[in-house]
This record gives sequence, C-alpha cells and structure tokens, in this order.
Amino acid sequence: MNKEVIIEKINDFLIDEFEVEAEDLSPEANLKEALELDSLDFVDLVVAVEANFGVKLVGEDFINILTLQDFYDLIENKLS
Amino acid sequence: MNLLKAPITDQNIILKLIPQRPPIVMVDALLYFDDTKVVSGLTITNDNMFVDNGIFTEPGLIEHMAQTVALYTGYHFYIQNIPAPEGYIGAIKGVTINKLPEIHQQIETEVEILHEVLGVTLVKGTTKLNGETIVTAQMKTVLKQDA
Repeated sequence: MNKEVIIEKINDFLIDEFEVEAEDLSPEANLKEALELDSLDFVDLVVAVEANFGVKLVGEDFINILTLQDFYDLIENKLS
Repeated sequence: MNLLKAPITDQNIILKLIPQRPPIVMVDALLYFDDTKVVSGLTITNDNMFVDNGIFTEPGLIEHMAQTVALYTGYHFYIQNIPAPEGYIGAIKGVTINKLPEIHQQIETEVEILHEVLGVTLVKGTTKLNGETIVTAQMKTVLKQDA
C-alpha cells in the first residue's frame, strides 16, 4: 500500500468516524486539535486503525505524534 | 482458559477486588477470569438499592456491568498482590436493554476487553438472565491517576 493510499484511507475514516471536514485534515494540522480528541477518544482512534489496517497501536505509539503527518508516518511505518 | 480454580463467591474477597462498598455493591460473584475476559454474577435481592417494585432497574444493570470491569481490574491487580487503582466510567454507548430482572433472579455479565490505551479501557459487555441476553453495551472505563 503506497503512502497516498494510506493517507486517503486514514482521511476517509477520520472524516467518517470523527466527523471532521476534509479541509481540516492538512498534514501540518495538530492531530488532537483537528479531531477534537479528548483522552477517551484515543481508544476510538486505535479501534479505527485496527479495523482499517489490521494494525494495533499502543499508548507509546502516540508519544511523538503531534501532527497529522506524524500520524500518517506512524501508520506507514507500522505497515512496512 | 479460566484462570480461576473455582468461582469466587466469598463477599469478603469480592470486596477486596472492587472499590465500591455497600449498599452500592452490584457484583457478588467472580465466575471467570482470563487476560481478556471476565464474568461476574449478581443475585438480585429485595434490599438492592436499584430495585423498584421487585424489578432491578436500568441504572443497576449499568452499574453491575461497570463493576464487572472493576472486578477484572481488581482481580488482575490482586493476583499480583498490588492494590487496585480506582476507576470510573468514562463513556457508554450502544446500550440495549431488552429485559429487566426480578428479585431472586441471578444475572451474569461477560465483559470482553477490546482495547486498553493510555489508561482507557474499551470493553464490550453482555448481561444474561437464564442464558438470555438482556443487556449489551460498550463502555470506556478510566483508571484514576495518582495526583
């Protein structure tokens, strides 16, 4: 799966499950702010990633995740 | 595989596993435990604070399910000889209640641990009465962080 496909797939489930607008999903956007995530929502993000990519994230994976680009890179690295 | 040698029904032990105290104890048995699943039991008594006109009401069913999660956490720490942290319900969704139990009936609740991330546990709970599913729900529970 190439990077463009991964990003498209991520954006699709973020728009669908976190009710954000496509124009808010710029790579430099702050992940937590763009998705309006609170501490309870991270588990939903983990569930969505597992459902869409078959990858299980753990808490430590989010330590260095600040922007959407960081999140895209994380998923790409997990898949590689 | 059930990691319990036998079901735990001794109320003194049950009270060691959960932070709640009477009159708001809504589990009286630990029937099954493994790394991702727990099953609790509760016999509905007439003096249960959630009983109204002989019927165990909806808040009691939700509290019973939440305390089943607390049993999971409590027993997990108990077998490691570590005091269990307190927890609370962070969110509930997809609650379906088909039937309310009556006094003297016994309910059993199975909770499956779906995900644990950053102190938040997502679980799927199913409560049965005589083998019939009467409640299903998803809950997010949160462990209280030390200040």
